[in-house]
Amino acid sequence: MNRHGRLVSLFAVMAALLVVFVVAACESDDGEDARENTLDVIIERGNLICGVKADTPGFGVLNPDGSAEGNDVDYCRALAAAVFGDASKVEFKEATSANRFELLAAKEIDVLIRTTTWTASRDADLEVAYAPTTFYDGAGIMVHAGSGVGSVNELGGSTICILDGTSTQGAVSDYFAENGLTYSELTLQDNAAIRGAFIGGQCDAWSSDKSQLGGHQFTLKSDDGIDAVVLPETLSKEPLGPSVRDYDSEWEDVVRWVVNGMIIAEEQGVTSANVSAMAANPPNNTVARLLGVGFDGGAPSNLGIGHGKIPGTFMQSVISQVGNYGEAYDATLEAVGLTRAGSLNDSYVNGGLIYSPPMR
Amino acid sequence: MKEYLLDVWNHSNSRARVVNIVVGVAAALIALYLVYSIFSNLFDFRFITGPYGSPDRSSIFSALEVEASDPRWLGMLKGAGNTISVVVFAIALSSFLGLAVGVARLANNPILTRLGKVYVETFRNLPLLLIMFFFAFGVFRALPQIQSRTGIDGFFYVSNRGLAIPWLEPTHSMWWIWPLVLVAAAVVAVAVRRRKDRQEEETGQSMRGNTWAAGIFLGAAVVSFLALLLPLRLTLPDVAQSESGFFTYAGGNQLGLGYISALVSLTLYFSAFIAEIVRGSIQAVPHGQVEAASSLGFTVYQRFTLIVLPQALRIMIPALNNEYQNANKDSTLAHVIAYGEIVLISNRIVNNAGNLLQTYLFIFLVFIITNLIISTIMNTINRNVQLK
Repeated sequence: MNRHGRLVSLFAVMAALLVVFVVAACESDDGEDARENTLDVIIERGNLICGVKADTPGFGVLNPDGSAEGNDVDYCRALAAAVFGDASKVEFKEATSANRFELLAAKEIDVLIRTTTWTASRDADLEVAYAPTTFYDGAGIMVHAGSGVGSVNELGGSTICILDGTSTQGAVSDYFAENGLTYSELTLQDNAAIRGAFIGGQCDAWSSDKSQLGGHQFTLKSDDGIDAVVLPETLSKEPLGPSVRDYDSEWEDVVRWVVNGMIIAEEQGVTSANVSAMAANPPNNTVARLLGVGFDGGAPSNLGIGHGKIPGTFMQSVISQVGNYGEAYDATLEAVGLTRAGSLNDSYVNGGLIYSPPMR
Repeated sequence: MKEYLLDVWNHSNSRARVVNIVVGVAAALIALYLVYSIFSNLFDFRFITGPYGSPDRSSIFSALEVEASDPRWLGMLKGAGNTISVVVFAIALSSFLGLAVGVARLANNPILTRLGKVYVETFRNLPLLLIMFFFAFGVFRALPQIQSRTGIDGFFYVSNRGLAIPWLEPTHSMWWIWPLVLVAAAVVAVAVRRRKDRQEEETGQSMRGNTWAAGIFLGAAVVSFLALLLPLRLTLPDVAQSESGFFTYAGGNQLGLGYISALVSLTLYFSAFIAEIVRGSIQAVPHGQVEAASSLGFTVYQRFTLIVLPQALRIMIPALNNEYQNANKDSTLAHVIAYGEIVLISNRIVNNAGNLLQTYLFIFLVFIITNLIISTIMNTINRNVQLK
């Protein structure tokens, strides 16, 4: 081939590349403008992909044999039951504190249920939408029982161990600054390292969410015979709940109302054991609307959740396969020592914060 | 017009130019589009002005401690400063240690050579991360508790919280002028010494270049220290107790678990590699040089410092450049042992604000810039020691 031929072929290749680039660019533009409807994607795929914690007893544990357990895991199952009528049609993906929002934004997961605190910056800046809070948590501080300290306000000059990269760091910093106290911080990457540091006296106190501290206090006593006390102050508000991408309201509504539905089911006494009986013969209109059946021979009301893409009886599948809010809580969180009675996570009927708008 | 266009197209030179221009413009447009789409969609930098949110006091310099109220960009800059403040010391210490071990491996003493070999093979063959874990969670945890006041009372303490050492602290806000004066004095002293040496070479008379240089530097240091009203003073550490009975270090400077473990691990690990570079470079100097030096009556010490080492240095420097850059990059591992270097500081931002791409782009820039600086310094030294 002579020199001209080479030049012409080079030109042809470059032109072809240009066409490919422009076409690709246009296509990706279209993809960004037309926001994907996650509910459609989930139904077409045939399963739900849920981002959860892999190593936190009570909330999310992914076992080596592929099974999963925990309160967050139960809400994933509830969503699969609502969409497919089958709580097993869910794939669990481990979401770490560092990559969780990237996973969600990149559409690697459909919903993030991973003890994620609802904050303004995450809601607005990260374009994440939050479903109702499933667990009200807050940062607390634990000290050795022998230290004689009875309040966080006596911790001036102490060294506090904190898990790195958590919102606890900010909560402790704010609380101590507001109260004019000084402290040193030892941030470590995992709870095992913190445990060793706390036992060995590298830090005087251990700060984390109170839900976590309870478990650590228990294992310190049972494994090492060390008495620790969790101080009464709660340093921050940490409402934990499922989150989805912004601008995806059909899917967001499904997530929101599955959680609300589980709360209403508990208020109305609908459990996994009696749900089919309740559906056959609903005791009142509220239960009838929750379960998508007619009351007293009337037609079932259409609430429009999922715009007909999921059955109107979706809460029947959720409650029969996963249970109501209280059942899920008892099976997972109560089991690791997080007492519900009298806590913020009790039903509003008993003075707690668990409350749902009406389903009508 | 048509003939002209055909003429342009049929003539190989002008056609090539047309093709070049078209392809060039097309490539530039594609590049511009890619840059635009990345920057407009992903690279929103508003988050960097928000507050960092939590303090980090693992730095050895109080100026580099991150405050909760610092904007995020300042936090990242301080993180970069913390990276540099461990890498610079690790490079210096591992070079000295590596030189000592490398020379020991060539000594005539069999115990010394074996010890050197064990040292090199141990630290060269372990993952750096493991060494860091070993020091941070093994060695450190076994140290005595702070209340035992282990160390030299009033001067130096060691505990599982870290080391407390004497330190210099500024007495007024203009203290930083003094280090600048020292740098200027050093530059002048070196220039004077060079001039005296040249005169000595030309005239053959002793001009006392070293004495002059030392005199200028020390004189300027003392005079400016007094003129600036004693800008720094020594503070000694002490073990203090709070009202509720918690122990802390007061005064001096506290080198925490993270910094010490990172420094020690990087030093041990890279000194093993540097020792091998030193040994190889010394062995690469032709044996005839040693024999010639011996026959001219050089002592063993002179033979080594005047003949062998300068020639070995020429071979050593390009390889050392590699190790220094590796030490810089591998310092990022210290984020797992709670040292507030650039990756740890940035990961916290990613956790709170979620801007991973932008934050990591900053880390890329920090390492590209610092490694280019290391390269520039090493290449300058390389040029100066090569045969001209």
